[in-house]
Amino acid sequence: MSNGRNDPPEDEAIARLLKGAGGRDQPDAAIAAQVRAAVESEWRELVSARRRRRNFTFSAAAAGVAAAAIAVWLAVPLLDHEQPVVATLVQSSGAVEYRDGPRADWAPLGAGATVSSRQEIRTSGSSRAAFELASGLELRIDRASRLVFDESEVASLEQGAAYVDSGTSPGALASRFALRTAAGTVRHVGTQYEVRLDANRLRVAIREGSVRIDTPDGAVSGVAGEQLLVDEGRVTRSDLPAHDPAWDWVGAVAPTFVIEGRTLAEFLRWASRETGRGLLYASDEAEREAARIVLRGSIEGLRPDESIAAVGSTTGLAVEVRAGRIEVHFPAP
Amino acid sequence: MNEDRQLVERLLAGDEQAFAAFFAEYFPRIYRFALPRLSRDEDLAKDVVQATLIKAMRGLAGFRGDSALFTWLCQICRREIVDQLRKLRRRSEQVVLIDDSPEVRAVLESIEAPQSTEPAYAQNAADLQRVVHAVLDRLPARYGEALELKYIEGRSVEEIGDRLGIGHTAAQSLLARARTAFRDGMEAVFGATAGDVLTRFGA
Repeated sequence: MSNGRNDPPEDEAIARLLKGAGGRDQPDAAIAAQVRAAVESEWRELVSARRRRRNFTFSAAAAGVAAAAIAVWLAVPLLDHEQPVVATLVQSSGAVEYRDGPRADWAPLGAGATVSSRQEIRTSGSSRAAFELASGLELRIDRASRLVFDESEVASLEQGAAYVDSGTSPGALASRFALRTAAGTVRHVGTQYEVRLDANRLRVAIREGSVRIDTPDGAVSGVAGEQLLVDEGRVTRSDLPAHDPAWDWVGAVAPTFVIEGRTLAEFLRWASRETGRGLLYASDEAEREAARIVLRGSIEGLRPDESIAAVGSTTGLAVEVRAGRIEVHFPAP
Repeated sequence: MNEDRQLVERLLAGDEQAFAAFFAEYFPRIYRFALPRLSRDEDLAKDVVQATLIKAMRGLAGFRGDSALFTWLCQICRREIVDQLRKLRRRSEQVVLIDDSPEVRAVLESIEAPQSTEPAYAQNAADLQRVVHAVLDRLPARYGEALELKYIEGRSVEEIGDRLGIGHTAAQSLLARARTAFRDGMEAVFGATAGDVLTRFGA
């Protein structure tokens, strides 16, 4: 397109065009700093992962041509110094921050960012976060909370509340995840539970399955529908139904369930777990029909309880929430 | 290997300077790309741009240099914008800009190898401003910066050289190349000289 001309009138026109358009928007420095921190964190993780893969490949190749001892000697120095990735931020609302240690500065943690062991996470008074651990186990953090990922299967809750969902995947069910607090360590047995710290009091609410709490004064167990208050060695039990409003914050930060191509039955199983409501089919035929119906679209941005009505209204089945249950039946003629 | 591909290779290799250069060059441009498409909601633009660049990092190894790096980032950003608006149930508020029209978009994406002679499309002064800024954003970053320093801020060649860390002769040369590239870009979009564009818009 350029013809090499440089005539003054055309340059003058360029000057007037640029002047008329004015300067381009410049992002605020604070925004730039936040975005940079999140993107840089992702970039460093990418580079680390590539190095680990390359080192692994190199080690494997070396093993083919040399003694295993030599390969190990070569690989070990290359693999150290980096903390393993233990979790990925899969959902958040509001600002979530992390730091590498007690003396490090806090930096924003963006969606999809990974967290390594020894890193500390905090949410603000208006933010929440959901992490997926390598095992598939989900860890959600409520507002105004602080938590450190000590190791791949151990985290320390220092303030606020966390919710653990072992899900249904084999890896997560087999997970030996432990959540430490100043008042005790909570371990699960295929479950959904919340651990909340209030000063030095520990409250553990169990939505599904059972948990074991190791305190300095001994071990106690809790089962679904119970909440245990541990206060200076004394344990008080009370009831907490799985669909109690106390669980609502957990749904507010639930990772989106991708419904596209999934069956209504799969969606309802997810919604049932997320809302703590039992799933009741009025007949075998209704259950078979739910397994046949393939969903299209998205429920992104909807809470699990909102999505039940939204999805239910698009199918030929009637899906209703009643007390503690999701009921599915054919609509009356 | 083109410059974009080289930058990506350096990023993948963990080159700190490459990351600094990548962020300095592309963050403001992607932010400007997103902001008007999100009704100038700065918080939302920040989230979208952050998600865009994070996804770009994850997909970096897949960038082959078939399109310009900026074009590739814009494609990711477009998807993020649609996702965000859907999430916020603001589909009806989605902003369609002059540079989103298929014709202008195609021309803008081809600016680095201009070949279109199709004229277009701007209707008013706001459209013209959008296209001027979009063309500047698709030029090499220093070209756009030099042109703004010269023609909007009224800086001398010496001052431009100082600002960009280059000598007087290099600054003159950079300005000349930047003018040519900008003129070619505008001609590619409008199918007319800068003077004719000014006349058309009464600018």
